[in-house]
Order: sequence, then structure tokens, then C-alpha cells
Amino acid sequence: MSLTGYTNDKPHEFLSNKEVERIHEGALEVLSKTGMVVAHDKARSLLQDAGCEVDHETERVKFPTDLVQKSIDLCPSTFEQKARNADLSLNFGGGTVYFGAFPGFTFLDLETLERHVSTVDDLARLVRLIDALPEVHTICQPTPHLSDKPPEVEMEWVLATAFRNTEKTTMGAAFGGCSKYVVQMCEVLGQQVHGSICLSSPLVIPNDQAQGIFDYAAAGHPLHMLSGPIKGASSPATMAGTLVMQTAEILGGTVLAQLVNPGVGVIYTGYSTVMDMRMGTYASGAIEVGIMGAASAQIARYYNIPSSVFFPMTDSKIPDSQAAYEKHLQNLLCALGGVNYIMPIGGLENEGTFSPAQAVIDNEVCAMIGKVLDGIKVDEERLAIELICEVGPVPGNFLVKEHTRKHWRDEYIIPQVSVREGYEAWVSGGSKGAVERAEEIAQDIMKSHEINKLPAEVDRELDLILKSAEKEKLGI
Amino acid sequence: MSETKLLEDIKAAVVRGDTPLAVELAKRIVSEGVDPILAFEQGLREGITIVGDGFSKGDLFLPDLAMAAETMKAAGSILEEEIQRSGAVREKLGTIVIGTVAGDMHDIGKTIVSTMLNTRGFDVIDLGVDVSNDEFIDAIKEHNPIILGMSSLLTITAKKLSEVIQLIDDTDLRSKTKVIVGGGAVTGDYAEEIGADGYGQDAEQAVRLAKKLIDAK
Repeated sequence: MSLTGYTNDKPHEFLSNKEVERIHEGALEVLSKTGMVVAHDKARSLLQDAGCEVDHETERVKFPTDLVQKSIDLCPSTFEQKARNADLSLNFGGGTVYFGAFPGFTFLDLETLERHVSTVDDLARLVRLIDALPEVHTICQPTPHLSDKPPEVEMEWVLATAFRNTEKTTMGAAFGGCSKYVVQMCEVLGQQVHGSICLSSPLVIPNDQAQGIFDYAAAGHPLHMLSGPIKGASSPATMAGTLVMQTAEILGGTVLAQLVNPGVGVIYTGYSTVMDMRMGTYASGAIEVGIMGAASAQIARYYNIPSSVFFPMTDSKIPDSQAAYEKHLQNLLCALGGVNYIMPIGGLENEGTFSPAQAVIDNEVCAMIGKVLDGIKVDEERLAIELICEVGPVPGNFLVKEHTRKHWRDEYIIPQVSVREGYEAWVSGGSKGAVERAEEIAQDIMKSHEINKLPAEVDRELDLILKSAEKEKLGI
Repeated sequence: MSETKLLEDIKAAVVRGDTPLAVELAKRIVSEGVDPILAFEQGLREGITIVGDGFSKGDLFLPDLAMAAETMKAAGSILEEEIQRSGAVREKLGTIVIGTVAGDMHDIGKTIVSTMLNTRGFDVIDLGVDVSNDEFIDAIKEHNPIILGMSSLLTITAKKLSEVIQLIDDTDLRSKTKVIVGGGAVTGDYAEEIGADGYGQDAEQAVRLAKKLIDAK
């Protein structure tokens, strides 16, 4: 049994079919006329052999339309991501909606409420927290940076720490050439990652990301093909233009992936954001991000491949109203738009901070959004017409009925964070708001949650892989 | 066209970010024998200052700033050429060399910083992205900047910042050039640790920092 997540069979669509087709045609035109820089020699040669026009001097690759089309056709419409515990495997595609944890460069310490770069131990605690949260179906490393490991090998340590502290499926990165070692770890663990490939906008496949495509695709891991232009800065100021560029970049990466391993799973991952034109800062919580996220799912459906978004995000620095409305308006738009994998849990300050308290809040909102996707079940039992007639006018009530006891949990969430008690009870309970409650819940989980530890011999294998990465990259 | 009219028009062209018009006017300024230094200061510089002030007040936005900087660059190079030809010397507020470190392809944050520095009167030499350590050192030797600005979005490439700083120290260029750093992977603490002279989290901070370092000189 794999994780079922939620289902959206009637996605909201922002674009007409004709508009999706124009975006697709635009992407093909960009790829054939202008192409992309592919900063990886072997990748360029492979693309050249497949019919791309390649200038090795400028690293520019132009993609013929028929090759792009052929690559799209090779992508499977659904595929599994295997967890080492089969109950936690994922099935991407169709109407499935999964929620995942989101990363931050630092984490917000619950004791001091200051931002810190994680140590391996901090990261282990954060992973155990998201391991415990039921709405987290799959994870991206809560913090991708470590203060107690050299930057050359920090991604390897981040992934090993994630593997050691959760059985849930994990995103694998390609930064700094870590993909090779992540693939080795997966072999030992008997699981797959979704290999995250970060294309650089406008129109670049960086060297390490191209290597990530080779490593993950060759080993049969599905790929997150992720394009993240900033609207008005690294892509046109319009959503339509940004979607053309995002699509072009994702298709460019997809061509390479299908050349490396025909039929490998590719997830169309939208990560288009907005720039604040007053300050030049990232406006990751802008509502357009959510709109483009929903549109990304629609474009992915046009290609018949699964979709993902590398958000919701907020620009707020703390768990507050702004964090809640920015993140979860985006979250709701993406869920209603039928994005297969949304990443709402834990992030603050765009990718700046992972907050345990925010993660607990987000977990609760995801349960609510799950209810939105579940919609209203209508059948004779649930219409309860007979019951209404039987109870009749006041003083009749429904609390004493077996029907209520049987069904109330079907459609209710028992919130841990939201304040629902009366005012007096709230005051006598310490006048705590949602954020303070979430902080306490996060503390409790991090202290008490038990994980299924890796068998000692597997753990030792991971150590050996980490050592070989350190040896190769640092010479130690 | 009178000298005053030409200066007014080229200033207005910079404010509007109308590059073709500004280029045409710069050529006329040269052909009609108007003092190119005067045209630079009272035309281009005054124009870009209006845009910079408008941006600070919130009346103008980054696209206005970027277009005006582009216009200033295009018209400025025509005037610069004439200034050099005439053998005169234009007094500069300061030259800044800027770039994203080797292995890092992230451009936009660095470009915004360079645009804002431009609009505040600095002469900016933008080396682009994926700039090797040697390219930074060569650019310092060539342009003799008051400040070197380096950006790194990725932690994996952040160590390049300290490598370049080390090279500058080794070649004794540090007495003339201050080093400022920024980008996603960099924090104030990290900047201090690697021996940078300053850190800016965003473009506004970078400009303030540059001015502070120049005033201190």
C-alpha cells in the first residue's frame, strides 16, 4: 500500500486549451530559435548527437521541435517513487495531490526564536518533526545547509541525515555534484528520491544540474524538472510570458533526461516567482505565484505528466498572519488547480528559514485543504433526510443520535493549533494564540517522537558513502 | 540646437530611459563641440540622479532604474570616448568591479546591485556570472577599483569569495580595493569571517555600504 494523499478530479483551470497550446508553441519556439546554455560537455554532445544544433564555444544548444515532442511523449504519465517502507511510497500523476515539507537556509530556533544554520543534530530533530506530521507525505530537506560540515559535502550529509531520520520519501538535490552519492545511498537503502534539477533562469542548465540529470535518470529515479524564473527580472513581467519561459526550460531539461534514460519519470515543477520592483527583493509570497502554480499543473496535464510546485512561500520572517495568508492562498490555488505535489510545510522568508512552529500550523492547514479536495459526499446515508424528519423541531437535537457519532469524524478536523475554546477558558489556559500553541506542539514532538532507525549495517554503509564523498571532494 | 537645449534633452532622455534618443543626442553633443564632461555631468549624471531619487521616494521602480542605467551606459560611452580623445579627465565618484563567483550562474541580484550603484554615480564594471578568481584579480589590476563586489547564491560556491579575498591579500591589492560581498549564501557573520570589508543583504544596503566605504577613504 502506498500513500494515497488527496485527490482532485475536477481541477480549476486558469487557461483555455488554446492558451495552453500557445504557451507550448511559444516554449518550442524559444527552444528552437534561442535554445539554452548547457554548461556540461557530455550533455551537449549527447544533445548534438540527438539532432540539436550545438555551439560548444558558447555552450548554446538549440532544440529541434520534433526532438522535444518525442521527449515529451517518452515521459510516463504516472509513476511510483519507492520508499523503503512500501506504505510510504508515492504514486505521482493523475488527480493525486501530495503535500511536502519545504526547505530554508536556516531554521528558527524554538528556544531563542533566532535564525541559525543547522548542525547535523539540529537537522535530525527537524526531520523527526516532519516525520511525525501526518500531512507531510514526502519531504524536501528542512535545511539544505549545515554549519558543522564543509560546504563541499553538506548536501551529502543533509541527505544522509534525512534518510536516517524519516522513512518518508525525500527529494534529492544535484548541487555541488552530490547526486552521485545520493544515488549510492538510495541503492543501499532500497528506495528512490525525486531528483531535484534546478534550472537557472533565463535558459541555463548549469553543470551540476546536468550531472544530476545524468546520475538520477540513469539510476531510474524520477526527476523534478524545476524552473524558477523571477517575473520581471529573469523572465518577462507577465504571467503568460513567464509560463512560456518556465515551460521552455523544463522541456529543455526533459529532452536531456529522456536521452539519458528513455521513459524516466519527469515532474513538471513550477517555481516561477515575482520580484518586488520597489526594492529588488524576492516577492515569493505574491499571489501570482499561486496562480502560476495552478497553471503549471494545467500545462503538465497537457503534456500528460505529473506536476509539482516548489512553494507555497511567504516573505514574512516569522509565523504570523502574512505567513498564513500568503502561503495558504498559494496552497489552496495549487490544490484546486490539481498540482500533484505541493510543498507548503515549514518554510518562512521564502527559502530563508524553516520554522518548526510554522510547520505545525501548515500541517493543520493542509488537513483543511485536504477537506476542500474531499468536497461534499452526497449519498442517502449522508443526506440524512429520514433523520431530520425523525428529530423534528426544537427540542429535538442531533447530538444524541448514533448517525452523528458515526459520521462526525468523516468531515471534521480536530484542530491542534486553532483556538476554539471560549474567552474565559482561553484566558485561564494562558491566553495563547495559534503560534504559541504550535511552538509547544513542535517542542513536544521533537522531544518525544520516535523514528524507525536504520539497521546498523545500512547506517554503516551510509557512513562509508559519506567518507568516499569527503575523500573525493576534500581529499580527507 | 543650443547647448542648454541639448543638455536638457539628453537629461530627459536618461530619465525616460530612451536609449536611441540619448545616443543620437550624445553624437550631436560631440559633433557640435559641446564640452563632453559638461554633458556627462549636467546631462547624464543629473538625469540618473533624478531617477535614483525617484526610486528612493517610491515614485519610480526598478524597470525605470534599469532602463535609465542602460541609457546612461550607451550615451556615456560615446561621451567617454570623446573625453578620452580630447585628453581631458572626468572626475569619478568611484569605480566598482562586480561579479558572481565561479560556478554560480545567478545573475539577477548582482545586476540589480550594479544598476543601483550606477544610478548613484558609481562607475560599475560588471564582469557577469561564473567569474573565475583570476578574472576578478585581472579586473582589479586593469580598472583599479575602489571597491570589488562579489556575489554567491550557493553555499558551495561561497568559498570562492574567501579565495578571491585571499588572492587580493596575497597580491597586495587590498590597500587600494575594499571588498564587499552579498548573495543568498552569504551572511554578515560569514562576510566578517572571510575578511570582507562589508556585507549587504540587498541592493539598497550595498549602495549605502559602497558610499560609506568611499566616504571613509
